[in-house]
Amino acid sequence: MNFALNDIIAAISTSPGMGGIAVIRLSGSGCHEIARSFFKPLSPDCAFEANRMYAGWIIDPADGQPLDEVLYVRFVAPRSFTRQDVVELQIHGGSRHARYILDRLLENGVRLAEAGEFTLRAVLNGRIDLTRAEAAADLIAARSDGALKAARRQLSGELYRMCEEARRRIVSTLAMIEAYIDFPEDELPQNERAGESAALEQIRLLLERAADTYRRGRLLADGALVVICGAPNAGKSSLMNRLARRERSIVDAAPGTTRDVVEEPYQAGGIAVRLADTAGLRQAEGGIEARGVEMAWEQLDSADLVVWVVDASKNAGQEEALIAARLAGRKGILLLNKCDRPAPSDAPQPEKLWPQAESLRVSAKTGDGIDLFEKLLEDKLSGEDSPADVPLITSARHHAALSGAAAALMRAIAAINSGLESEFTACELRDALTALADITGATGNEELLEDIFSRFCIGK
Amino acid sequence: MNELFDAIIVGGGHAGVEASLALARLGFNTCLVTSDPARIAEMSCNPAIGGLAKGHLVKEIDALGGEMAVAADATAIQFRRLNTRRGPAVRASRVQSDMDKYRDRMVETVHACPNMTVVKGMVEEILFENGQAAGVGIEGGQSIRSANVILTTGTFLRGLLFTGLSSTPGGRAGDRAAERLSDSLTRLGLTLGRLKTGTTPRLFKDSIDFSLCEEQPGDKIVVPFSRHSAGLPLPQQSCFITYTNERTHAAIRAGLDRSPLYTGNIVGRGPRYCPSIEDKVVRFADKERHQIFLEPESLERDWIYPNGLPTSLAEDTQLAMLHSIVGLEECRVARYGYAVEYDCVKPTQLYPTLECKAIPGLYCAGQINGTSGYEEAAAQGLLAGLNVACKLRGKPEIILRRDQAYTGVLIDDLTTLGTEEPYRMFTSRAEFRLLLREDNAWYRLAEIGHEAGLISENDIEAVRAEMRQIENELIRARKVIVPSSEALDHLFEARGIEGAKRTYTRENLLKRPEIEADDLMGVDAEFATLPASVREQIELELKYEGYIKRQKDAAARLIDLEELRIPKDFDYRAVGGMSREVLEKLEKLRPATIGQATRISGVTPAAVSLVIIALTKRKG
Repeated sequence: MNFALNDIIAAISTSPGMGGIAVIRLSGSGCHEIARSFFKPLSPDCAFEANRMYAGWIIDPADGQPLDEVLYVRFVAPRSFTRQDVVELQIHGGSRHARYILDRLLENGVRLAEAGEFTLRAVLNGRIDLTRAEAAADLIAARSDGALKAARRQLSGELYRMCEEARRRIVSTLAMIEAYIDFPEDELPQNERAGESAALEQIRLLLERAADTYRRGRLLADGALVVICGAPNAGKSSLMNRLARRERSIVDAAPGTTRDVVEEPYQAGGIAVRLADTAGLRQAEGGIEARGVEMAWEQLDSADLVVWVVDASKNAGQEEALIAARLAGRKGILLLNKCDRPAPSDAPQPEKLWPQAESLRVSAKTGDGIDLFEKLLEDKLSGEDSPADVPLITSARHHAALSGAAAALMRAIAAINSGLESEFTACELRDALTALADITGATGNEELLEDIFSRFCIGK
Repeated sequence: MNELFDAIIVGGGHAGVEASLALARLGFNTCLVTSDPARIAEMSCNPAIGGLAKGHLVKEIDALGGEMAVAADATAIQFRRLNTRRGPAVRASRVQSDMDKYRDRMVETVHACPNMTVVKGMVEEILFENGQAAGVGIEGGQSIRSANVILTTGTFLRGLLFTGLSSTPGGRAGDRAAERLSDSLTRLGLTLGRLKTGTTPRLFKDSIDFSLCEEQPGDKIVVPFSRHSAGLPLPQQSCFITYTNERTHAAIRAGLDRSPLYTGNIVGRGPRYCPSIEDKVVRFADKERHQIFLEPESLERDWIYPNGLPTSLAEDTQLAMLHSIVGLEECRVARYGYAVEYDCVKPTQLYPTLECKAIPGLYCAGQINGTSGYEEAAAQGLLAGLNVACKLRGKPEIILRRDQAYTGVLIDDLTTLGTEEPYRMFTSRAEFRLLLREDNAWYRLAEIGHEAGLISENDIEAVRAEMRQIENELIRARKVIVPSSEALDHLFEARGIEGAKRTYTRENLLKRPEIEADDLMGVDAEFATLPASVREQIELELKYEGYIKRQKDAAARLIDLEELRIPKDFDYRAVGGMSREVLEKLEKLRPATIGQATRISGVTPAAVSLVIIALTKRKG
């Protein structure tokens, strides 16, 4: 059982849903230090005083890019809900971003809270008086029941079988290592460390690939937000209508017609997509249009996929430079629209505008290239490398289990390759089994011993 | 006998000796009842102490103030350090013992111990009055009274010895079984299990041709188990290795029709890690040979223990089998191998103090709890003795955590999970293995031994001073510069490491996998002046710092759970909100701590949370 009373736990403490503000709560000594490493305060001399709210950015640890604007509150023990150190992150982008940030926290030594676990700590540390403890207990009983059912729903037979297979293979490798440690005088067959490491790498790849399906799994469960952006009059609304196959956005030759964010349901490779047509991105003069532009920028931040529509019949201008700066480093699709018209001498060059994107020439007006774009959209959302042989996962707990196990296997392989004594490899393999336990159940020593004694003739 | 004892220990094996010595040394009026006062601490099976995880247990016994380590050192006739090429946590010490001297020394120690009364007798009954243990009834009608009884009966409970198709009641070769005590335990409500183990034939030394066998000498450098021992006083002996062959296996197969294992006469489950030779030949039919270690039992008595040949085959089959083996062609048998089947108490009926949940004042320790091995027995005996002492003094009980000691792992496994076969300790059972080393047993446990009263003021002061020195030296090692020198350059060259002709901190050097503490003796004059035990700790703590820290952190996260005690009368039904399955498990096992509850399979975090809240309410 992965359970303790003083480790760092985290959970999204607002109810799931689209939009709005989501709150991630962390509790446990050291939680500020971990959360702090994801947070870049607006003010450089931020002191992180207790009970004060600090504005800033959440940074993607993968690439150092700002993810979302957040408010950061630090509570210092014992003056907090759990009487432990607590951090609360209020996240603008809503639950979608909150989940992403939570996943990063879970990859960095934070444990996903069990149902009612914050309340449990509050009760245990005397923060909640005893008359209210009863209610807390009811809550835990009710929530854990719900959580258990939800987990069972999310745990497909396929995922379970795959993890169980991975677990069995880890046990088998571990049994081999343990046999050599505990029975040094028995004549065991020669073991090959290289073989061990290759076997573990296979399991690791499988687990990693399963962990990687989380993105697609989440998209399938939640739907994806595809944001179409571009300079005014680049043809975003025409594209939207072309995809929606009806006139949804008002198309007008006058730039800046779309002020609100217009959403349209769409299907791409089985994924429910919300297509969002945004206001043309430019330095707006003010008023309603300015507000529309601001919303468009916010939408961009929470998009699963950004499609940038560029008018290829015109030379790239100031607006393009503005958008390019904003999208720099992100991935997405660059559409060179209006390809039915002649290209100017100084036509926009996709590799210069947005090097990380895949680009396509289309004409929203004639429909040229739209089929290719739809295919690309599907591939991008599904993840081109999304394998067919591993199950999709949709739960943060399962994702943490799989990526935790994969990371432990990576360390095990590194330990083998660096020539460390085998008990350290064993240590990592046990960590992998502990991580997998959230899916497969715990691995007892008894099973390990049974594996050893059935394979090897032990007994001096 | 009208005397009222503080504690009665039933059985003078390895568990009984530790339990009774601990209590008597702590000043309690102690009575040891044994069927044969001259066979106290007899080594009924192989003549060795220690080995993987077992050596660890012996060092823990030493640090808690037990006797086994001192006795093993005094009577060792071969020392070996196992797994020397592996990391520090899984290196282990083992000695071959002169089992006669070991027993005689223990007999003398027990008889000479103040506050100890040794009674010869066969216990038939546990007296039970006013809802708790009140003493024991002995064959012949006599009774001895005490509110604390520790059962350490080994394989004697309805013991049945098997050789071939014949079976005779007995606790072991040469001793009667305890026939009636099992019934008394059943009447008191305990559930008994049935286990089996076996031993090898014993051979006369002068009938073996050792020149045909491979000699296995002991190590040249010997390190005693006990902190109190200066060395190993007895002359060191070699063991010899020989092998079974196809003819041996054929002889065994030919005799299977008269094997009690294969005819179904034995129902008790035997240990998988120590199968009989007939089991090995049947289950691993492809294996062309099995290793046999020829081990001396004693310097004076000329018996050899052929380790690897436990068997309950018929005598003529045993002889045919032995005579097919190189070196044993002419051997004469001093005693045939046999299997012993015996009753055990299902250990999940015990608290981690080893007291029976249903019978206050009755404790069980050793093989009666389903374990095997002298070391496992001794560790339990010592802890049972210490817990009775705590109870008599009104002090809190001693429960060792899994991150503190193998002894803690042992007792937690037994009392939480139980065991279906004779339980032996393995290092793989300890999830905090990297912390539980032989080299730090005293640093882990001496304070507890001192608190209990068995570790002297002098010893604890010395240990504390060492620990302080280690702590300081660890800090210093990060700062102290080892200047560049010719000796250092030579060392780098000899180990094939780049980077000579530079200065390093002591930490930099010790963290390198290629460099050992001993290598620094010639290049770091100050380090060389530190005591060897301190140097060793500095090296290990630095070299494996990352892993050790991870395990320490993981252990620290669990301490809160271990320290949340659940009262013995806790009402799980009043908790509410738990599934019936979980409720039944908790009610049946009645865990002593929340930590123990988390290790019961099927108990969920939510259930544990609910119990914690109920406990908090109860306190408030």
